[in-house]
Amino acid sequence: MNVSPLSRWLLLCVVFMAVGPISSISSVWAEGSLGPAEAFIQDFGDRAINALTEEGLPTKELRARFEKLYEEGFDSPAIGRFVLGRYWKKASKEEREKFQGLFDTFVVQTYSAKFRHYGGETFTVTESQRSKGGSTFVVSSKVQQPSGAPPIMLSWRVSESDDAYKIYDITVEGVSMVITQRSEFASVIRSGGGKIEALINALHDKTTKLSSKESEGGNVNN
Amino acid sequence: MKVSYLVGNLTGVALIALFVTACATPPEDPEALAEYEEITDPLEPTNRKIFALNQGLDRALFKPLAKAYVLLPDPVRDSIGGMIENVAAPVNLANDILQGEFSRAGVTLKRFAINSTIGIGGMFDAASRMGIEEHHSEDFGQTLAMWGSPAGPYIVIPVFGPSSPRAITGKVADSFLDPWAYIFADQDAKIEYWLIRGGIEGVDERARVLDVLDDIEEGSLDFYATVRSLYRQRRKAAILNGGQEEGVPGPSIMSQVDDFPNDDEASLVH
Repeated sequence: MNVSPLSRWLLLCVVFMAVGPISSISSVWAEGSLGPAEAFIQDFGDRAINALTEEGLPTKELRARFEKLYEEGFDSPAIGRFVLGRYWKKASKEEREKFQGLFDTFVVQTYSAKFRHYGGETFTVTESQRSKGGSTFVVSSKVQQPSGAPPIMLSWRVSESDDAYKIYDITVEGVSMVITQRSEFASVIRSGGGKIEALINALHDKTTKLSSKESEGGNVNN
Repeated sequence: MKVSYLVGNLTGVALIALFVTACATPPEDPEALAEYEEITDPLEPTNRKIFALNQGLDRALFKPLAKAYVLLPDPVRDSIGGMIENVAAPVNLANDILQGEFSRAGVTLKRFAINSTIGIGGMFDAASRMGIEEHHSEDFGQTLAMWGSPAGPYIVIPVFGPSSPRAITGKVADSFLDPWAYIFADQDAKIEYWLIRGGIEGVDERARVLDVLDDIEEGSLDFYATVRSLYRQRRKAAILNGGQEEGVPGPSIMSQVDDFPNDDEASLVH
């Protein structure tokens, strides 16, 4: 087929006009297909990055912001039960309550501290998988680092109840937060002669020590 | 004293420390026994001692070295990292093939060809700039895992840290798969090559986790147990080739307790 330059140009215009709208439709489509669990995580991740990686944030404020996000987004009673593992059944009601209180404080103190070294990251949900007929999701996401280093892969385990989503685990590059925590707590209990009290005491000492860091003040984001 | 003699002696001492000292006694309670078997750390008392020794070494030597290393400009460190990856490419390639991962083998081969030439021995990551997939590493320990070999008990090795019989076997096999080692006919030169390469790799690796490890240690009640769990999970993820990135759900954890919803049968939604 012989095509003159003019008609080739016209053809290109037609192609562009046709493809242009289609591609913008498809991007709208892609956004629209973000499932509710994915949308929940995307929103949660964006808010967390905005709130926690602000430059010059004092420790106290960082912890307060983290605590608010943790209460909103995480199923802390379920996490508390899981990390206590087989000892949950053995614990008395009083021990459970004591443990849960200390554990929540411990999570806020130690996990908020990890945000000290971050700033300028972008967070993107990549996909999600739902359990068959179940109400749990695994939402995969990545955190792009400003340094251009390879992105950090995060996957979130989310449960759904009454149209509300709650996070019950985060896996960072294959490392599950709750498995790591459970494994450590079990070790503390074992070396304390199988007593939950040993873990409660260790958590008490740790959180007391870490709270004194807060009063030292200072800016945490460098 | 000859280097090979020194290394031989050190290895001997380490092995004696590993196998002569007392093992932990398995508990009698069935639930406790199940837990004991799950953590597969029968050498825990010895491991803890070696772990403490390694922490001392880290504080005195590796951490200060890593801290000095991060003072180098980013492009310099990127180049060193690139050269480390490039030197390891032949062993990676062999393991990609042994695992039947031919498309990943293709990536390794392409990266090696491009970065060795255009990238001047790996100093510049020309392959990534040309749109080739990012670097990945495979070792013979991972190959053994793919072939169905269990990891065996947790072992902390002096200087090197967390390991397992499978990982140690893998390291030894990798040293035979490494073509560079055959360039050095003389045994001492070969050992010097391993020491220098291992040293650079170790400092580079340590430098990448300076802040991360500090945070983890600060927030730990039992740092030894945390590191053991981290090591195991990281190894598992490496063996699964970061399944998560390829859209496969990570190791299911919730199936382990009744309190959590079971997501074993996770199916692809998107």
